[in-house]
Amino acid sequence: MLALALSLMCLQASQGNADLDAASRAYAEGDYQRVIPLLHSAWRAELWDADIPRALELEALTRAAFDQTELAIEAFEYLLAVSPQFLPDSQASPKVLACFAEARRRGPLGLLSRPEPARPAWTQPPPQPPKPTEAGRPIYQRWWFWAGAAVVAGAGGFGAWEALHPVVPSGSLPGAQLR
Amino acid sequence: MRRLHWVGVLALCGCGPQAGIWLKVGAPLSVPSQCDELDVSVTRGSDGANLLSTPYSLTASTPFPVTMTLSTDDRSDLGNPLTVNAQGKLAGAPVASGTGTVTLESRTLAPLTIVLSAP
Repeated sequence: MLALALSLMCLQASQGNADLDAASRAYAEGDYQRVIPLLHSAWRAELWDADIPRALELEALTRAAFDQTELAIEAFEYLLAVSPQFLPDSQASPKVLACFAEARRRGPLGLLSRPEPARPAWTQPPPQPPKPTEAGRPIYQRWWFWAGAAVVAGAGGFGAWEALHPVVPSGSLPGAQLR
Repeated sequence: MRRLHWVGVLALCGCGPQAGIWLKVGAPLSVPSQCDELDVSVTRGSDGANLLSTPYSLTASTPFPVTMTLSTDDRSDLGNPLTVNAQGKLAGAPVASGTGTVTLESRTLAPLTIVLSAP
């Protein structure tokens, strides 16, 4: 059981690491919109301790790129909690440097108190068209239409069968027609 | 009787005849030694019009009682009492006869039983 649990943890961490790598590649390629969803996926799958600073840095840089200043500062605060010696790249943009400076001023946050990352609007699934209501559906998409059609067809078929197969008893002698 | 009516109603639904008579003729006669022919005639009570006059040859395979369906598509026959006369013959000579009256109803097979007796 212990081995199984360890294997499961390793598997989850590997998945988290793969998502983190994918997020890093997306950031390097400028595909910022994919970064945060991949980071969320990595957090859910679990990350090795060594990968947590990289994940937080990526989140902070991406948030800053989208002008989500408060979220960027918060990410830097968490990052400083796990990696107090962290310093951003000296070539980083002024926005990133400003967020980091503000995080340093506020002080580090504890990871245990980190809330579930909120999903920015651009990571939300596109709005679905409203489902058609019962009143707006065409008549042929309503169950009672087909039920009624089946009843009518059945009755018609029975009537036709009756008409074509009269069940007048014939008797022991041939029948006759009155004039 | 109720069952026969039900069968009749079912039978006459749709494109079938307007009405009919489910005729059953019984007689204490053996076929064909005592009776080898049955004449059936139907007359309308209101004007005495002859609606049917049919002879049936009886054989050993059709002993009494015999049954038959007399149907009509003429709506004027409905509601008028009809007199049905059945006469048994042996070698052309009458040996027994019987009469019954029935009134036809729309899309109904009206049952009528006639028992032949010596004239």
